[in-house]
Amino acid sequence: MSRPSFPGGATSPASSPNDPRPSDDAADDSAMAYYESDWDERNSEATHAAALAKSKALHDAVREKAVGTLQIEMLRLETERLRLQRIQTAERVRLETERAMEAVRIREEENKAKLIPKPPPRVPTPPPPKQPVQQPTPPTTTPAPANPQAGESAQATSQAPTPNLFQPSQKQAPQVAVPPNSQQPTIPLQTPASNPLQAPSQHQHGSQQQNHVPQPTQAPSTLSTPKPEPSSSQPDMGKQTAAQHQRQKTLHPSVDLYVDIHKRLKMLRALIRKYGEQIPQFKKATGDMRRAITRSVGQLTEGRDTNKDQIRTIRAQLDASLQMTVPPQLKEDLLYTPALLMTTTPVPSREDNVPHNGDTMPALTIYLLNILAKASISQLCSEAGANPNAAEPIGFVLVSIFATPRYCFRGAPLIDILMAKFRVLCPVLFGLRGNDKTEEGRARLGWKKDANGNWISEQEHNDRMTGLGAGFASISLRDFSKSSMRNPWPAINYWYALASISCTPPGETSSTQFVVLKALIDNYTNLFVRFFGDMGVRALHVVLEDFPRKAPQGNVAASSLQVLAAKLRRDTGLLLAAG
Amino acid sequence: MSETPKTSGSLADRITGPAASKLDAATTSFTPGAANPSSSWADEVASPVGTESKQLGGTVEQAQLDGATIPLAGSGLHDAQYEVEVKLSDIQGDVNSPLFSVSTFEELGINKDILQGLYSMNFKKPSKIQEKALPLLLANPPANMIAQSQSGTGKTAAFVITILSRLDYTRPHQPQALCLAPSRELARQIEGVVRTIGQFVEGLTIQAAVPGAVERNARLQAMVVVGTPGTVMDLIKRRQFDVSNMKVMCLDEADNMLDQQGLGDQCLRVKQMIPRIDQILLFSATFPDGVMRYAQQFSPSANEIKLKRDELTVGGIKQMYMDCPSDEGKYDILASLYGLMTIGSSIIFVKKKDTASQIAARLTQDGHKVVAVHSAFEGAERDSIVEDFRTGKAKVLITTNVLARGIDVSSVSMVINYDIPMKGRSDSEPDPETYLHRIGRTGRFGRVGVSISFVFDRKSFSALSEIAKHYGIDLVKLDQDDWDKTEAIVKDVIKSSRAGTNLQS
Repeated sequence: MSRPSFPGGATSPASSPNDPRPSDDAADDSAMAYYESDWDERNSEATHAAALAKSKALHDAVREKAVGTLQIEMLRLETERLRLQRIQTAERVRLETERAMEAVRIREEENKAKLIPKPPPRVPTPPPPKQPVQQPTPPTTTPAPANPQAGESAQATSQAPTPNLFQPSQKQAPQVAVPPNSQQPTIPLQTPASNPLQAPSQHQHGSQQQNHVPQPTQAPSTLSTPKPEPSSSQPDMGKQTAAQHQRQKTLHPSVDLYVDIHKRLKMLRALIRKYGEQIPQFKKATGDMRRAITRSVGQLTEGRDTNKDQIRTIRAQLDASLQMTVPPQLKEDLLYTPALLMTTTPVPSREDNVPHNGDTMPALTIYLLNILAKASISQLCSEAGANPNAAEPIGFVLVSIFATPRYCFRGAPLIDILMAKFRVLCPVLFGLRGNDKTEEGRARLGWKKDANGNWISEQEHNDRMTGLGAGFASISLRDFSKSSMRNPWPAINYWYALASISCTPPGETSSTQFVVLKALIDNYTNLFVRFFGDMGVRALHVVLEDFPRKAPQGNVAASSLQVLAAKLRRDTGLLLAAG
Repeated sequence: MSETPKTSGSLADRITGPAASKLDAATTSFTPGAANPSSSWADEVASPVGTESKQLGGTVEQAQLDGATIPLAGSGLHDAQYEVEVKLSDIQGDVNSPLFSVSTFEELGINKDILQGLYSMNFKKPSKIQEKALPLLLANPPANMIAQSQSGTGKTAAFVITILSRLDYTRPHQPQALCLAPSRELARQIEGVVRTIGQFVEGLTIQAAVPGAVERNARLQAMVVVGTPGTVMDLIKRRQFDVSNMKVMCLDEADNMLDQQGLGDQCLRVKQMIPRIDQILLFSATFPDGVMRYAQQFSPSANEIKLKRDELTVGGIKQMYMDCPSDEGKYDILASLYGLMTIGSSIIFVKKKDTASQIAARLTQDGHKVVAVHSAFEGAERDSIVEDFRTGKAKVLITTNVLARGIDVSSVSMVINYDIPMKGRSDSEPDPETYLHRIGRTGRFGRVGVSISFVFDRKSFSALSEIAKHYGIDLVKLDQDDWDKTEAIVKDVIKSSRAGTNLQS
């Protein structure tokens, strides 16, 4: 540009210092023409003003255009991003729907298969496992419903109240997706109900949209996930959901509820203690009952019919608590809502003569059930830790007490009181993992601390885990086939525990797991194989042969698990190695 | 911390200090991989840490490896979040604990079949006595040993491993090892331990030589013979027991055997009747000075492992006493104790046989499964009673001093001194050794146990105080007036300190 040739060059550019460069050039060109046409007027103020105004208008126009272009480009990018996001969501929903439907299909086929021979009347068992995805579930425990759909809806209703009461946040996509799909085992196309809900969403991918029936139900769950990360790339999203599913598979669904139940039980004990401070007789009565239960649990021995007196004593305390005349000023306070201590709330039974079919039970009875659970757990930790055989009678007594109808709520056993303690003290049983060399890992593994805040010794920890493992086995592997009572904790839970431990990836194994596993299996192979047959033998192979190999070289706890396999081979001739 | 305070100190800092380890991780996480460790770490690795890494040993060694990944490679192998290494607070990592050890059984060079037996017994790491004694015991040529270690720290397993390692398995019918114990129960128990540890050792044969166990004119045809001195002496005399190829001889509760007039003589006679013994081992939790000299003659030029007197008590045993209103009032208090805490099996020591029977009747009435053992019972009957207690068919054992020593039932969580142990002419002085052996029936291998001693008059009170003074222990007093309060005290005492450490340290 020939800038020096302008007479007004020094002032003209300075007047608009903020203008972008390109518009500067354009203004120069037009001004040049003007100067040439009217040379005389070239330095008049009007000319300058006009030139300035013109150039300003031009600048503004160019700037506006540029801004406009930029905005359009940004909008385009935004729409593209939204489009991608929608595609990802759609894809994920499709996958989850398929998975849920596949689970439904499998279960329906199982149910059909079970319906062909008219099954004999069964012992009523708790609602089927709450994880439709879990495959190792043998069909033994699901009650055979009249038709598959009835089974579905029963399950749905039985589960429905749970989230409202306890877990408003825990809405799992598969569960929500199940009921609409259950009517149609094949891929559901456009259902009329879904379209109106679909309407507010964007209109770009009509063809795909029709396939994504549960999208609206999916939307809130996507929102409720802690990290929405709108800009994350597709593989990341995939990984995240995969991880979630992994977690859902390995953990017992009500695992986290147990922690809450445990806290509520602590509060209940504090409450009873508080009343005891107010009323000395109440304190003495509860103290005597408590000590009677503790002593009876301590007296349990192995052998047939050796524990009748002890069971009678324990029942006597519980019965007394049911009938106890409560101090009038506490009448209201000493009723408790057992639903607070259960992972699933049972509906009131329609049968006659079901005890405690209302909303409450005497708080003292629940307190004593809790004391029984507490004393038994403590006995397991100390005695069965040293001598695992001692777990057998404890498990027997616990199960028979918890199965007793008059200590049940609406016909459902209150065994979650006991399981909450297992969950807190031995989380490994419920699929939790941790590194036993780190602070956080130990906390996750239920490694206890002593009064000074130090971790208890490895030996003590292993003892506790051994006792709890043996106790869990003794509770789970109870044969109720000849009993009229409902099994409060069926054997499938034992399978879950084995599975959730042995599915641990190699990098995440811990000695605690091996110790617990050894205690679960030692002495209990007979019962386990009786419940699960060939699948049980196969499971033992996985647990005793395959799983210890995931341990780091030289892990002594893993070695003792392998010795267990050798012992089985020697003592029972059970060969696990061929597989 | 221990013999190598410098290195271990700095290592402990590094491992345990949360801030320090985080800092390490942060500063070195940018170094490209494990090839370029920080210099200080490298120094430590390169320095003669054979001792150091050995000292931490076993599974703790993996802790070290884990620890190394944090400063070396940042969070390379684990999740991005840092997890702080645990301080070595476990008893086997605490140098003051009698269960402390630096090595694994593998490192001690123990035969693989024996190892399997140990693992099946849930032994994970050697205890201090095992870790110190086994290298000496297993060394060649065989050397004698006098070893003292607290109750419940694995003495029996130590000499059983030695015996099993010395045997010549090509001669299954030739007696090669002899083990002597002061009572038939103890002999039976050792026999059981040999069987358990040797359960995966092929061709192992073992026999007990206690009264009534060996038929007349039948020859002993097992590699390992466990017995009481009198019976063994008779069997050798009657040529039922061929002692021409004896490799190891072991005396358990050696001070007790050598101290007692009759048993000591019998032991000596047995030893003199054996032409040649490669290795003589003496084990006990107590070795009073007078017996020690005799022991040194019995097992000449032996390696010795001894303890100071104040190291004798085991911290895992919570010692309390109960002030009872009268001698008769002890019954009721005893019965009430059982609701106060979680009790596995329990042993009640009494002075007289008839007290034993009375207590047994009372406790049976309360729903306990009780057995009583004293000298009025004979032979096989005693075996089966103790067996019932061992397997947990009966959970309360009432006994006189015959079973004060050695009996190891791991689930015993309470020992009651219904009468304070006394010795001397007409029971005039307290008997600290017996007290120690009695309470040592609980707190086995680092477990928590409770001992409660009953006092009711000036004599019993001052006797107990003297025993407490002898070992430098503080006894907690319990009250029988308010059981709720007593329950709380007992709970606190049980929780108070970690098991396995000495009270003094």
